[in-house]
Amino acid sequence: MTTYMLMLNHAPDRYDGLSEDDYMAIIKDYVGWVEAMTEKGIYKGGHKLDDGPGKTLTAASGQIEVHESPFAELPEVLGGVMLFEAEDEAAAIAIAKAHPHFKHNTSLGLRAIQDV
Amino acid sequence: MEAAGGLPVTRLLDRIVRRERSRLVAHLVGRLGGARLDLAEDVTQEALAVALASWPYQGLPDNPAAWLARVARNKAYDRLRRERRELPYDAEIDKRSTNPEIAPDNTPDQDPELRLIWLCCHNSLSERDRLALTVKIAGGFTTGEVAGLFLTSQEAMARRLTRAKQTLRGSEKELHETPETIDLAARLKSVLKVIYLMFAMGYAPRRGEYAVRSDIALEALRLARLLAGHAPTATAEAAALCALLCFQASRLAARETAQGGIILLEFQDRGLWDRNLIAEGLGHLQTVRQAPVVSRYHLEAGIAATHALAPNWESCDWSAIVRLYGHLETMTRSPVVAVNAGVALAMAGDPDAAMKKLEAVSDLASMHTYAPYFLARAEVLARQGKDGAARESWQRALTCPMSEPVAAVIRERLSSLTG
Repeated sequence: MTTYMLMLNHAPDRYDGLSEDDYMAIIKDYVGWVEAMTEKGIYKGGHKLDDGPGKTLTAASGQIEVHESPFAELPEVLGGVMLFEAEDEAAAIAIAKAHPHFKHNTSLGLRAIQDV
Repeated sequence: MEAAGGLPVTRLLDRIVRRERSRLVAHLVGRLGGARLDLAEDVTQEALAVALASWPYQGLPDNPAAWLARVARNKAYDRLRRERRELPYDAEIDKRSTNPEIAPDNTPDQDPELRLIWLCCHNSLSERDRLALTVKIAGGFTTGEVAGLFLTSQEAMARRLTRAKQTLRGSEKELHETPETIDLAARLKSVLKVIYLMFAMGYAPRRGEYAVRSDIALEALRLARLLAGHAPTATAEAAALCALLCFQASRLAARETAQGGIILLEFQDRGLWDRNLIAEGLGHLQTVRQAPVVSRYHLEAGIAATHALAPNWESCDWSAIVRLYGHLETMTRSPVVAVNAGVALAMAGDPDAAMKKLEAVSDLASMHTYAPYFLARAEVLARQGKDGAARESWQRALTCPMSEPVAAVIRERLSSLTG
Protein backbone atom coordinates (compact mmCIF):
# COMPACT_ATOMS: atom_id res chain seq x y z
CA MET A 1 0.00 0.00 0.00
CA THR A 2 1.15 3.52 -0.79
CA THR A 3 -0.11 6.67 0.88
CA TYR A 4 -1.38 9.36 -1.49
CA MET A 5 -2.11 13.00 -0.90
CA LEU A 6 -5.08 14.77 -2.45
CA MET A 7 -4.67 18.52 -2.84
CA LEU A 8 -8.13 19.98 -3.21
CA ASN A 9 -8.22 23.19 -5.22
CA HIS A 10 -11.07 25.59 -5.56
CA ALA A 11 -11.76 29.03 -7.03
CA PRO A 12 -11.01 31.73 -4.42
CA ASP A 13 -14.66 32.81 -4.30
CA ARG A 14 -16.13 29.33 -4.63
CA TYR A 15 -17.79 29.26 -1.19
CA ASP A 16 -18.70 32.94 -0.95
CA GLY A 17 -22.35 33.93 -0.72
CA LEU A 18 -23.79 30.41 -0.71
CA SER A 19 -27.04 29.87 1.15
CA GLU A 20 -26.73 27.76 4.30
CA ASP A 21 -28.62 24.95 2.61
CA ASP A 22 -26.40 24.91 -0.49
CA TYR A 23 -23.22 25.07 1.58
CA MET A 24 -24.45 22.26 3.79
CA ALA A 25 -25.17 20.06 0.77
CA ILE A 26 -21.52 20.39 -0.33
CA ILE A 27 -20.17 19.74 3.16
CA LYS A 28 -22.26 16.60 3.44
CA ASP A 29 -20.76 15.20 0.25
CA TYR A 30 -17.23 15.63 1.58
CA VAL A 31 -18.01 14.34 5.07
CA GLY A 32 -19.76 11.34 3.52
CA TRP A 33 -16.69 10.56 1.43
CA VAL A 34 -14.32 10.80 4.41
CA GLU A 35 -16.66 8.57 6.43
CA ALA A 36 -16.79 5.94 3.66
CA MET A 37 -13.00 5.95 3.27
CA THR A 38 -12.56 5.76 7.05
CA GLU A 39 -14.87 2.76 7.19
CA LYS A 40 -12.73 1.03 4.57
CA GLY A 41 -9.73 1.78 6.76
CA ILE A 42 -7.86 3.67 4.05
CA TYR A 43 -8.40 7.28 5.16
CA LYS A 44 -5.30 8.67 6.82
CA GLY A 45 -6.45 12.12 7.84
CA GLY A 46 -6.69 15.54 6.33
CA HIS A 47 -6.51 19.22 7.02
CA LYS A 48 -8.37 22.28 5.89
CA LEU A 49 -5.90 25.06 5.16
CA ASP A 50 -6.64 28.48 6.58
CA ASP A 51 -8.41 30.69 4.05
CA GLY A 52 -5.74 33.40 4.18
CA PRO A 53 -3.17 33.70 1.39
CA GLY A 54 -0.24 32.77 3.65
CA LYS A 55 3.35 33.78 3.01
CA THR A 56 6.05 32.81 0.55
CA LEU A 57 9.63 32.79 1.83
CA THR A 58 12.46 33.15 -0.66
CA ALA A 59 16.23 33.06 -0.15
CA ALA A 60 17.83 35.92 -2.03
CA SER A 61 21.30 37.49 -1.74
CA GLY A 62 22.12 35.83 1.55
CA GLN A 63 18.90 36.53 3.40
CA ILE A 64 15.42 35.15 3.49
CA GLU A 65 12.64 37.44 2.36
CA VAL A 66 9.01 37.04 3.37
CA HIS A 67 6.38 37.86 0.74
CA GLU A 68 2.61 37.93 0.71
CA SER A 69 1.46 34.99 -1.36
CA PRO A 70 -0.65 35.84 -4.36
CA PHE A 71 -4.25 34.96 -3.68
CA ALA A 72 -7.22 36.64 -5.27
CA GLU A 73 -5.72 36.81 -8.72
CA LEU A 74 -5.11 33.06 -8.82
CA PRO A 75 -7.71 31.04 -10.69
CA GLU A 76 -7.60 28.44 -7.92
CA VAL A 77 -6.34 28.15 -4.36
CA LEU A 78 -5.44 25.10 -2.29
CA GLY A 79 -8.29 24.54 0.16
CA GLY A 80 -6.91 21.56 2.03
CA VAL A 81 -5.24 18.18 1.84
CA MET A 82 -6.34 14.60 2.47
CA LEU A 83 -4.26 11.45 2.88
CA PHE A 84 -5.41 7.98 1.90
CA GLU A 85 -3.94 4.59 1.07
CA ALA A 86 -4.18 2.79 -2.25
CA GLU A 87 -2.60 -0.27 -3.84
CA ASP A 88 -0.98 1.63 -6.68
CA GLU A 89 -1.29 4.79 -8.74
CA ALA A 90 -4.09 3.41 -10.92
CA ALA A 91 -6.14 2.60 -7.83
CA ALA A 92 -5.37 6.03 -6.35
CA ILE A 93 -6.50 7.73 -9.57
CA ALA A 94 -9.72 5.72 -9.55
CA ILE A 95 -10.41 6.83 -5.97
CA ALA A 96 -9.58 10.47 -6.79
CA LYS A 97 -11.89 10.41 -9.82
CA ALA A 98 -14.79 9.31 -7.64
CA HIS A 99 -14.18 12.10 -5.13
CA PRO A 100 -17.21 14.40 -4.59
CA HIS A 101 -14.76 17.28 -5.09
CA PHE A 102 -15.48 16.98 -8.81
CA LYS A 103 -19.17 17.52 -8.21
CA HIS A 104 -18.40 20.96 -6.79
CA ASN A 105 -14.97 21.95 -8.20
CA THR A 106 -12.82 21.28 -11.23
CA SER A 107 -9.34 20.22 -10.12
CA LEU A 108 -7.32 18.40 -7.53
CA GLY A 109 -3.69 17.35 -7.25
CA LEU A 110 -2.65 13.78 -6.52
CA ARG A 111 0.81 12.91 -5.19
CA ALA A 112 2.27 9.75 -3.77
CA ILE A 113 4.05 10.01 -0.42
CA GLN A 114 7.45 8.44 -0.96
CA ASP A 115 7.71 4.95 0.46
CA VAL A 116 10.53 4.31 2.86
CA MET B 1 -16.75 7.87 13.76
CA GLU B 2 -19.47 5.29 14.26
CA ALA B 3 -22.72 6.80 13.15
CA ALA B 4 -24.97 6.89 16.21
CA GLY B 5 -28.04 4.70 16.04
CA GLY B 6 -27.09 3.47 12.57
CA LEU B 7 -27.72 6.89 11.02
CA PRO B 8 -25.77 7.71 7.87
CA VAL B 9 -23.09 10.24 8.74
CA THR B 10 -24.61 12.90 6.49
CA ARG B 11 -27.96 12.68 8.27
CA LEU B 12 -26.18 12.77 11.61
CA LEU B 13 -24.40 15.93 10.48
CA ASP B 14 -27.71 17.57 9.55
CA ARG B 15 -29.08 16.76 12.99
CA ILE B 16 -26.01 17.98 14.83
CA VAL B 17 -25.88 21.31 13.02
CA ARG B 18 -29.55 22.12 13.53
CA ARG B 19 -29.72 20.79 17.06
CA GLU B 20 -26.51 22.34 18.34
CA ARG B 21 -27.18 25.68 16.67
CA SER B 22 -30.25 26.18 18.83
CA ARG B 23 -28.85 24.42 21.91
CA LEU B 24 -25.63 26.44 21.98
CA VAL B 25 -27.45 29.74 21.56
CA ALA B 26 -29.87 28.71 24.33
CA HIS B 27 -27.11 27.77 26.75
CA LEU B 28 -25.04 30.86 26.03
CA VAL B 29 -28.06 33.12 26.47
CA GLY B 30 -28.85 31.20 29.64
CA ARG B 31 -25.45 32.12 30.96
CA LEU B 32 -24.94 35.60 29.52
CA GLY B 33 -28.51 36.87 29.55
CA GLY B 34 -30.95 37.75 26.81
CA ALA B 35 -29.20 41.05 26.06
CA ARG B 36 -26.28 39.02 24.63
CA LEU B 37 -28.41 37.13 22.13
CA ASP B 38 -26.37 38.61 19.27
CA LEU B 39 -23.09 37.47 20.78
CA ALA B 40 -24.51 34.01 21.46
CA GLU B 41 -25.69 33.71 17.87
CA ASP B 42 -22.41 35.06 16.46
CA VAL B 43 -20.11 32.70 18.33
CA THR B 44 -22.40 29.76 17.64
CA GLN B 45 -22.35 30.59 13.95
CA GLU B 46 -18.56 30.94 14.04
CA ALA B 47 -18.15 27.61 15.82
CA LEU B 48 -20.33 25.93 13.21
CA ALA B 49 -18.34 27.57 10.42
CA VAL B 50 -15.12 26.17 11.88
CA ALA B 51 -16.72 22.74 12.19
CA LEU B 52 -18.07 22.76 8.66
CA ALA B 53 -14.68 23.80 7.29
CA SER B 54 -12.62 21.22 9.17
CA TRP B 55 -14.97 18.21 9.48
CA PRO B 56 -14.98 17.54 5.71
CA TYR B 57 -11.24 16.89 6.04
CA GLN B 58 -11.02 15.36 9.51
CA GLY B 59 -14.34 13.61 9.74
CA LEU B 60 -16.76 14.12 12.61
CA PRO B 61 -15.18 14.24 16.08
CA ASP B 62 -16.18 11.57 18.63
CA ASN B 63 -18.48 13.98 20.42
CA PRO B 64 -19.50 16.68 17.95
CA ALA B 65 -21.79 18.43 20.44
CA ALA B 66 -19.02 18.80 23.02
CA TRP B 67 -16.58 19.86 20.29
CA LEU B 68 -18.94 22.64 19.17
CA ALA B 69 -19.71 23.70 22.74
CA ARG B 70 -16.00 24.04 23.49
CA VAL B 71 -15.26 26.10 20.38
CA ALA B 72 -18.29 28.35 20.90
CA ARG B 73 -17.48 28.87 24.57
CA ASN B 74 -13.88 29.77 23.80
CA LYS B 75 -15.03 32.25 21.20
CA ALA B 76 -17.44 33.77 23.70
CA TYR B 77 -14.61 34.05 26.27
CA ASP B 78 -12.42 35.79 23.67
CA ARG B 79 -15.13 38.25 22.74
CA LEU B 80 -15.92 39.10 26.34
CA ARG B 81 -12.23 39.40 27.23
CA ARG B 82 -11.84 41.90 24.42
CA GLU B 83 -14.76 43.78 25.94
CA ARG B 84 -13.06 43.46 29.35
CA ARG B 85 -16.08 41.82 30.83
CA GLU B 86 -16.13 39.08 33.37
CA LEU B 87 -17.82 35.94 32.20
CA PRO B 88 -20.24 34.87 34.87
CA TYR B 89 -19.10 31.41 35.77
CA ASP B 90 -21.71 28.80 36.41
CA ALA B 91 -20.26 25.33 36.71
CA GLU B 92 -23.66 23.73 36.36
CA ILE B 93 -24.33 25.30 32.96
CA ASP B 94 -20.80 24.46 31.91
CA LYS B 95 -21.36 20.81 32.70
CA ARG B 96 -24.61 20.80 30.81
CA SER B 97 -23.29 22.34 27.64
CA THR B 98 -20.42 19.86 27.39
CA ASN B 99 -22.76 16.95 28.04
CA PRO B 100 -25.79 18.06 26.08
CA GLU B 101 -27.25 14.57 25.99
CA ILE B 102 -27.88 14.75 29.72
CA ALA B 103 -31.32 16.33 29.80
CA PRO B 104 -31.82 17.64 33.31
CA ASP B 105 -35.25 17.33 34.80
CA ASN B 106 -36.06 20.97 34.23
CA THR B 107 -39.14 22.98 34.88
CA PRO B 108 -40.26 25.30 32.05
CA ASP B 109 -38.58 28.35 33.56
CA GLN B 110 -35.27 26.51 34.02
CA ASP B 111 -34.96 24.84 30.66
CA PRO B 112 -32.50 26.95 28.62
CA GLU B 113 -34.06 26.01 25.30
CA LEU B 114 -37.57 26.78 26.43
CA ARG B 115 -36.33 30.05 27.93
CA LEU B 116 -34.84 31.03 24.57
CA ILE B 117 -38.25 30.43 23.03
CA TRP B 118 -39.87 32.72 25.63
CA LEU B 119 -37.29 35.37 24.86
CA CYS B 120 -37.83 35.23 21.09
CA CYS B 121 -41.62 35.29 21.48
CA HIS B 122 -41.15 38.84 22.70
CA ASN B 123 -44.18 41.10 23.19
CA SER B 124 -42.60 43.85 21.06
CA LEU B 125 -42.90 41.67 17.95
CA SER B 126 -45.93 40.96 15.79
CA GLU B 127 -47.11 37.38 16.04
CA ARG B 128 -45.81 36.45 12.59
CA ASP B 129 -42.38 37.93 13.36
CA ARG B 130 -42.34 36.19 16.71
CA LEU B 131 -43.02 32.83 15.16
CA ALA B 132 -40.51 33.24 12.33
CA LEU B 133 -37.74 34.52 14.58
CA THR B 134 -38.31 31.86 17.22
CA VAL B 135 -38.38 29.00 14.75
CA LYS B 136 -35.16 30.36 13.25
CA ILE B 137 -33.22 30.98 16.47
CA ALA B 138 -34.70 28.52 18.93
CA GLY B 139 -35.40 25.86 16.34
CA GLY B 140 -31.99 26.12 14.72
CA PHE B 141 -33.40 26.14 11.20
CA THR B 142 -31.96 27.87 8.15
CA THR B 143 -33.61 30.93 6.63
CA GLY B 144 -34.61 28.78 3.66
CA GLU B 145 -36.36 26.30 5.89
CA VAL B 146 -38.25 29.03 7.75
CA ALA B 147 -39.24 30.62 4.42
CA GLY B 148 -40.64 27.25 3.32
CA LEU B 149 -42.67 26.98 6.51
CA PHE B 150 -44.27 30.41 6.00
CA LEU B 151 -44.84 29.87 2.28
CA THR B 152 -42.68 32.85 1.36
CA SER B 153 -39.41 33.50 -0.49
CA GLN B 154 -36.02 33.18 1.15
CA GLU B 155 -35.24 36.86 0.46
CA ALA B 156 -38.48 38.09 2.00
CA MET B 157 -37.90 35.89 5.06
CA ALA B 158 -34.31 37.13 5.46
CA ARG B 159 -35.59 40.73 5.52
CA ARG B 160 -38.34 39.86 8.00
CA LEU B 161 -35.87 38.16 10.34
CA THR B 162 -33.42 41.07 10.22
CA ARG B 163 -36.20 43.53 11.07
CA ALA B 164 -37.50 41.34 13.89
CA LYS B 165 -34.06 41.11 15.43
CA GLN B 166 -33.65 44.88 15.30
CA THR B 167 -36.94 45.26 17.15
CA LEU B 168 -35.86 42.71 19.73
CA ARG B 169 -32.57 44.56 20.21
CA GLY B 170 -34.56 47.76 20.78
CA SER B 171 -36.29 46.16 23.77
CA GLU B 172 -33.07 46.39 25.74
CA LYS B 173 -34.58 46.56 29.22
CA GLU B 174 -36.77 43.51 28.85
CA LEU B 175 -33.95 41.45 27.44
CA HIS B 176 -32.55 41.37 30.94
CA GLU B 177 -35.45 39.27 32.08
CA THR B 178 -34.70 36.56 34.57
CA PRO B 179 -36.71 33.40 35.12
CA GLU B 180 -38.25 35.11 38.13
CA THR B 181 -39.51 38.14 36.26
CA ILE B 182 -40.47 36.63 32.92
CA ASP B 183 -44.21 36.44 32.39
CA LEU B 184 -44.65 32.88 31.19
CA ALA B 185 -48.40 32.72 30.87
CA ALA B 186 -48.71 35.90 28.77
CA ARG B 187 -46.46 34.52 26.03
CA LEU B 188 -47.75 31.01 26.16
CA LYS B 189 -49.93 31.34 23.05
CA SER B 190 -46.98 32.13 20.79
CA VAL B 191 -44.77 29.58 22.49
CA LEU B 192 -47.33 26.82 21.86
CA LYS B 193 -47.62 27.88 18.22
CA VAL B 194 -43.86 27.75 17.79
CA ILE B 195 -43.70 24.26 19.23
CA TYR B 196 -46.55 23.25 16.93
CA LEU B 197 -44.67 24.64 13.90
CA MET B 198 -41.39 23.03 14.94
CA PHE B 199 -43.12 19.70 15.28
CA ALA B 200 -44.57 20.10 11.78
CA MET B 201 -41.09 20.73 10.37
CA GLY B 202 -39.97 17.41 11.80
CA TYR B 203 -43.11 15.42 11.10
CA ALA B 204 -43.71 16.63 7.54
CA PRO B 205 -40.69 18.54 6.17
CA ARG B 206 -41.80 20.74 3.28
CA ARG B 207 -38.50 20.47 1.47
CA GLY B 208 -35.22 18.60 1.50
CA GLU B 209 -34.21 14.98 1.37
CA TYR B 210 -35.94 13.56 4.44
CA ALA B 211 -39.42 12.04 4.76
CA VAL B 212 -39.39 12.81 8.47
CA ARG B 213 -36.91 14.45 10.85
CA SER B 214 -37.89 12.65 14.00
CA ASP B 215 -35.28 14.38 16.16
CA ILE B 216 -37.07 17.70 15.55
CA ALA B 217 -40.51 16.26 16.17
CA LEU B 218 -39.42 14.60 19.40
CA GLU B 219 -37.71 17.76 20.63
CA ALA B 220 -40.97 19.66 20.07
CA LEU B 221 -42.82 16.93 21.95
CA ARG B 222 -40.33 17.23 24.82
CA LEU B 223 -41.03 20.97 25.07
CA ALA B 224 -44.79 20.45 24.89
CA ARG B 225 -44.62 17.90 27.71
CA LEU B 226 -42.55 20.29 29.77
CA LEU B 227 -45.23 22.97 29.39
CA ALA B 228 -48.15 20.65 29.96
CA GLY B 229 -46.52 19.14 33.02
CA HIS B 230 -45.88 22.27 35.08
CA ALA B 231 -48.01 25.12 36.40
CA PRO B 232 -48.42 27.92 35.34
CA THR B 233 -47.97 26.73 31.77
CA ALA B 234 -50.12 23.61 32.19
CA THR B 235 -53.18 25.15 30.55
CA ALA B 236 -55.85 23.26 28.66
CA GLU B 237 -54.34 24.58 25.42
CA ALA B 238 -50.90 23.20 26.34
CA ALA B 239 -52.39 19.82 27.21
CA ALA B 240 -54.32 19.75 23.93
CA LEU B 241 -51.15 20.54 21.97
CA CYS B 242 -49.33 17.83 23.87
CA ALA B 243 -52.10 15.37 23.02
CA LEU B 244 -51.92 16.30 19.34
CA LEU B 245 -48.15 15.88 19.21
CA CYS B 246 -48.36 12.52 21.03
CA PHE B 247 -50.81 11.19 18.43
CA GLN B 248 -48.73 12.43 15.51
CA ALA B 249 -45.42 11.27 17.03
CA SER B 250 -46.90 7.82 17.56
CA ARG B 251 -46.79 7.42 13.77
CA LEU B 252 -43.20 8.53 13.19
CA ALA B 253 -41.79 5.01 12.86
CA ALA B 254 -44.59 3.96 10.51
CA ARG B 255 -44.15 7.02 8.32
CA GLU B 256 -40.73 6.20 6.91
CA THR B 257 -39.38 3.23 4.95
CA ALA B 258 -35.98 1.73 5.74
CA GLN B 259 -34.69 3.52 2.63
CA GLY B 260 -35.96 6.91 3.81
CA GLY B 261 -39.09 6.95 1.65
CA ILE B 262 -42.38 8.28 2.97
CA ILE B 263 -45.45 6.17 3.79
CA LEU B 264 -48.60 8.27 3.92
CA LEU B 265 -51.21 7.66 6.63
CA GLU B 266 -53.42 5.70 4.28
CA PHE B 267 -50.79 3.03 3.69
CA GLN B 268 -49.10 2.85 7.09
CA ASP B 269 -48.70 -0.37 9.05
CA ARG B 270 -50.77 0.61 12.07
CA GLY B 271 -49.06 -2.12 14.09
CA LEU B 272 -46.00 0.14 14.09
CA TRP B 273 -47.85 2.99 15.78
CA ASP B 274 -46.54 3.67 19.26
CA ARG B 275 -49.38 2.60 21.58
CA ASN B 276 -47.78 4.26 24.60
CA LEU B 277 -47.78 7.64 22.88
CA ILE B 278 -51.40 7.15 21.79
CA ALA B 279 -52.32 6.35 25.40
CA GLU B 280 -50.42 9.40 26.60
CA GLY B 281 -52.27 11.54 24.05
CA LEU B 282 -55.64 10.18 25.17
CA GLY B 283 -54.65 10.93 28.76
CA HIS B 284 -53.94 14.57 27.90
CA LEU B 285 -57.24 14.83 26.00
CA GLN B 286 -59.06 13.40 29.02
CA THR B 287 -57.74 16.20 31.22
CA VAL B 288 -59.08 18.92 28.90
CA ARG B 289 -62.53 17.49 28.20
CA GLN B 290 -64.11 20.06 30.49
CA ALA B 291 -62.02 22.98 29.27
CA PRO B 292 -64.12 26.15 28.96
CA VAL B 293 -62.31 27.31 25.81
CA VAL B 294 -61.66 25.05 22.85
CA SER B 295 -58.42 25.81 20.99
CA ARG B 296 -57.38 24.68 17.54
CA TYR B 297 -55.16 22.13 19.25
CA HIS B 298 -58.22 20.52 20.84
CA LEU B 299 -59.80 20.12 17.42
CA GLU B 300 -56.65 18.90 15.72
CA ALA B 301 -55.99 16.49 18.58
CA GLY B 302 -59.55 15.24 18.15
CA ILE B 303 -58.90 14.61 14.45
CA ALA B 304 -55.58 12.90 15.20
CA ALA B 305 -57.23 10.78 17.93
CA THR B 306 -59.91 9.65 15.47
CA HIS B 307 -57.17 8.40 13.14
CA ALA B 308 -55.26 6.86 16.05
CA LEU B 309 -58.30 4.83 17.13
CA ALA B 310 -59.34 3.68 13.64
CA PRO B 311 -58.37 0.12 12.68
CA ASN B 312 -57.62 1.25 9.12
CA TRP B 313 -57.89 4.20 6.72
CA GLU B 314 -61.22 3.25 5.15
CA SER B 315 -63.13 2.52 8.35
CA CYS B 316 -62.00 5.72 10.04
CA ASP B 317 -64.89 7.84 11.34
CA TRP B 318 -64.67 10.32 8.45
CA SER B 319 -67.91 12.10 9.32
CA ALA B 320 -66.48 12.91 12.78
CA ILE B 321 -63.35 14.22 11.09
CA VAL B 322 -65.42 16.34 8.69
CA ARG B 323 -67.28 17.84 11.66
CA LEU B 324 -64.04 18.66 13.48
CA TYR B 325 -62.55 20.24 10.35
CA GLY B 326 -65.71 22.31 10.03
CA HIS B 327 -65.14 23.78 13.50
CA LEU B 328 -61.45 24.24 12.77
CA GLU B 329 -62.21 26.12 9.56
CA THR B 330 -64.62 28.45 11.34
CA MET B 331 -62.00 29.08 14.01
CA THR B 332 -58.91 29.58 11.84
CA ARG B 333 -60.21 30.68 8.40
CA SER B 334 -57.05 29.03 7.12
CA PRO B 335 -56.86 27.81 3.50
CA VAL B 336 -54.54 25.03 4.67
CA VAL B 337 -57.32 23.76 6.93
CA ALA B 338 -59.77 24.06 4.02
CA VAL B 339 -57.52 21.80 1.93
CA ASN B 340 -57.49 19.14 4.67
CA ALA B 341 -61.24 19.52 5.14
CA GLY B 342 -61.61 18.86 1.41
CA VAL B 343 -59.75 15.56 1.68
CA ALA B 344 -61.89 14.53 4.65
CA LEU B 345 -65.09 15.36 2.73
CA ALA B 346 -63.94 13.24 -0.20
CA MET B 347 -63.15 10.37 2.17
CA ALA B 348 -66.56 10.75 3.80
CA GLY B 349 -68.04 10.11 0.36
CA ASP B 350 -68.83 13.61 -0.87
CA PRO B 351 -66.24 14.49 -3.57
CA ASP B 352 -68.44 17.24 -5.02
CA ALA B 353 -68.56 19.12 -1.72
CA ALA B 354 -64.83 18.52 -1.41
CA MET B 355 -64.20 20.10 -4.81
CA LYS B 356 -66.33 23.10 -3.88
CA LYS B 357 -64.20 23.61 -0.78
CA LEU B 358 -60.99 23.44 -2.81
CA GLU B 359 -62.38 25.78 -5.49
CA ALA B 360 -63.09 28.35 -2.77
CA VAL B 361 -59.37 28.74 -2.01
CA SER B 362 -58.05 28.17 -5.55
CA ASP B 363 -57.51 31.89 -6.25
CA LEU B 364 -55.24 32.45 -3.24
CA ALA B 365 -51.64 33.03 -4.31
CA SER B 366 -50.32 30.98 -1.39
CA MET B 367 -52.12 27.92 -2.75
CA HIS B 368 -50.39 28.12 -6.14
CA THR B 369 -47.14 26.83 -4.70
CA TYR B 370 -48.71 24.66 -1.99
CA ALA B 371 -48.32 21.02 -2.98
CA PRO B 372 -50.99 19.62 -0.59
CA TYR B 373 -53.59 21.77 -2.38
CA PHE B 374 -52.87 20.12 -5.73
CA LEU B 375 -52.60 16.68 -4.15
CA ALA B 376 -55.99 17.10 -2.50
CA ARG B 377 -57.41 18.26 -5.82
CA ALA B 378 -55.97 15.26 -7.60
CA GLU B 379 -57.46 12.87 -5.01
CA VAL B 380 -60.87 14.46 -5.32
CA LEU B 381 -60.77 14.55 -9.14
CA ALA B 382 -59.77 10.89 -9.21
CA ARG B 383 -62.75 10.06 -6.98
CA GLN B 384 -64.99 12.00 -9.39
CA GLY B 385 -63.64 9.79 -12.18
CA LYS B 386 -61.86 12.71 -13.89
CA ASP B 387 -58.57 10.90 -14.44
CA GLY B 388 -57.09 13.33 -16.94
CA ALA B 389 -57.64 16.33 -14.67
CA ALA B 390 -56.37 14.36 -11.66
CA ARG B 391 -53.20 13.57 -13.58
CA GLU B 392 -52.69 17.24 -14.42
CA SER B 393 -53.12 18.18 -10.78
CA TRP B 394 -50.52 15.63 -9.67
CA GLN B 395 -48.14 17.03 -12.24
CA ARG B 396 -48.84 20.54 -11.04
CA ALA B 397 -48.11 19.43 -7.45
CA LEU B 398 -44.65 18.33 -8.56
CA THR B 399 -43.81 21.94 -9.50
CA CYS B 400 -44.35 23.05 -5.85
CA PRO B 401 -41.74 22.93 -3.11
CA MET B 402 -41.85 19.57 -1.33
CA SER B 403 -39.55 17.03 0.23
CA GLU B 404 -37.87 14.59 -2.14
CA PRO B 405 -39.59 11.51 -0.67
CA VAL B 406 -43.02 13.10 -1.24
CA ALA B 407 -42.04 13.93 -4.82
CA ALA B 408 -40.97 10.31 -5.31
CA VAL B 409 -44.38 9.05 -4.13
CA ILE B 410 -46.18 11.39 -6.56
CA ARG B 411 -44.00 10.33 -9.47
CA GLU B 412 -44.72 6.71 -8.62
CA ARG B 413 -48.42 7.46 -8.58
CA LEU B 414 -48.20 9.19 -11.96
CA SER B 415 -46.29 6.34 -13.57
CA SER B 416 -48.81 3.79 -12.22
CA LEU B 417 -51.55 5.80 -13.95
CA THR B 418 -49.72 5.56 -17.27
CA GLY B 419 -49.20 1.81 -16.87
